[in-house]
Amino acid sequence: MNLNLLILLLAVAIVIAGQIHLIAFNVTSFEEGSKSEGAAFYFDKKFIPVMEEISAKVPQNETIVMSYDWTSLPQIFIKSKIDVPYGVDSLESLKNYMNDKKLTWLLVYENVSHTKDLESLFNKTGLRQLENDFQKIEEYSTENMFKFHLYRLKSQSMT
Amino acid sequence: MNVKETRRTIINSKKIDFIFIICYVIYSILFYAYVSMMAMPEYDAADYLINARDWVSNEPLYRDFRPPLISWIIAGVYSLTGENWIIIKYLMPVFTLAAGLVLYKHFKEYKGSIFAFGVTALTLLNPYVFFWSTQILTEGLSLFFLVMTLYFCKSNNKNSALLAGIMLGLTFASRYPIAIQAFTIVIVEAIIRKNPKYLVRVLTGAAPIILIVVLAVYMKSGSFSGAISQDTIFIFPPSSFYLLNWQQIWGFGFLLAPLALLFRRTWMDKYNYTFIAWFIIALLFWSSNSYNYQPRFAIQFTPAISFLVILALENISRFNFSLITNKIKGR
Repeated sequence: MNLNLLILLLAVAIVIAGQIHLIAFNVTSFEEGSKSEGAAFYFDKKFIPVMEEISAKVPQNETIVMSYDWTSLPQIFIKSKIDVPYGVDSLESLKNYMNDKKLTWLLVYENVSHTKDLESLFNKTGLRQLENDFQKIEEYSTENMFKFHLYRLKSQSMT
Repeated sequence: MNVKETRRTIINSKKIDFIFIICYVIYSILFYAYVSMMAMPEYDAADYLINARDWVSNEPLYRDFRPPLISWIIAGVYSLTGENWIIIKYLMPVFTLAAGLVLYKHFKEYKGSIFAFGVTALTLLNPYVFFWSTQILTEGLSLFFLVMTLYFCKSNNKNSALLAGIMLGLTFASRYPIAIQAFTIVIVEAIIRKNPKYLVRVLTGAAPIILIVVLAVYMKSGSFSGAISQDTIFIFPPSSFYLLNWQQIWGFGFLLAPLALLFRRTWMDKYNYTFIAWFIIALLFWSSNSYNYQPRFAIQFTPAISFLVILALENISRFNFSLITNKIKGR
């Protein structure tokens, strides 16, 4: 076979095989990536209906305090303003924060918090403790079983 | 070239156009099938959607460091259709598909159909180009305007310099740092043309758009920042992240890109200088960031790499390797 043709065929094969390998490799890594916490909602068909239900429950002029600091996703579908309680590190300081700002609605993304200090408060056990001061309005589950809890500060906990 | 050869070239070119159209249609179907699977916008996409709402209300921008063009487009669509993110989800990928068409048309004119097919296929089939273009993000939008900048830069029409400038401005408006790649293309073109006035004409088109974008963001949010503060720290020597991860980002074909630079033929055609500079400047820019390295930042200069890969193949096909082997054998 002609040397030129042989080298050309080899180079073309490298490009084509390389591209097929690249696609196969990345399909797997994108699939794994879509299961990570950051991308968990992309294919979850119940996330938007859940957010819309929450939006319907809370009056539009009232702000919701949320345990998770990536607020942009829920903010598209929830008409109320969403506030992240930066600086709060306990149930007591959460109550104070909400009282100071005259806020009553709390949305908890179960097991997730913007700060490590509040992670124990927003897990299953912590949520039971939360119910002493907050009235549970509704619990929502998405398709991928992510849980959101909507609470309202009890009147006896308001100052 | 005699009449027979010319006719054969035209027929071959038409055949390749036909194959390209078939492949392009299949690609578009797969592309939109993936888009339809997305039940939610991506996190950064949510920022653009909320910014769109804020641009037409009295609210301050939710994320004021985000480039505004995508949010302006979304706001424009919302004004016609009402707020519906699903329409935006299907609209944004159009820009990448359009970029593919422009790439094909451009390279077909300058390098022929097979060359155009190769560069467009390698670019569109890059998984990062595919995946990130299916999102409501600036990747596809900026790729489109960057490719349009290239298209008008290489055109010899009367108003092409002005149009290249407008496209450069829109590249800036769609994703601020990509304007550096557009500037590179324009500057190299001015050098190739040996015409400083060309640069002035391009800047005449670009400056008003850049000014409008900066002023609009400044007036809306009280400041203008092209990026979050951590992203504005640069280092020397640059990171080797992109070169170390070449296989994951561009595949084995990338090996041929530096090979293209070894052929004398590459340096004899000044047209190629644009793509060499585009690749080097973009790679240096993203590698010089102090900490933020992501394969998706390579999306906009993937056409330059695809060009060098196909150029290497073209050079190999025209190079006479027998001369070298004969020299070695001492014949």
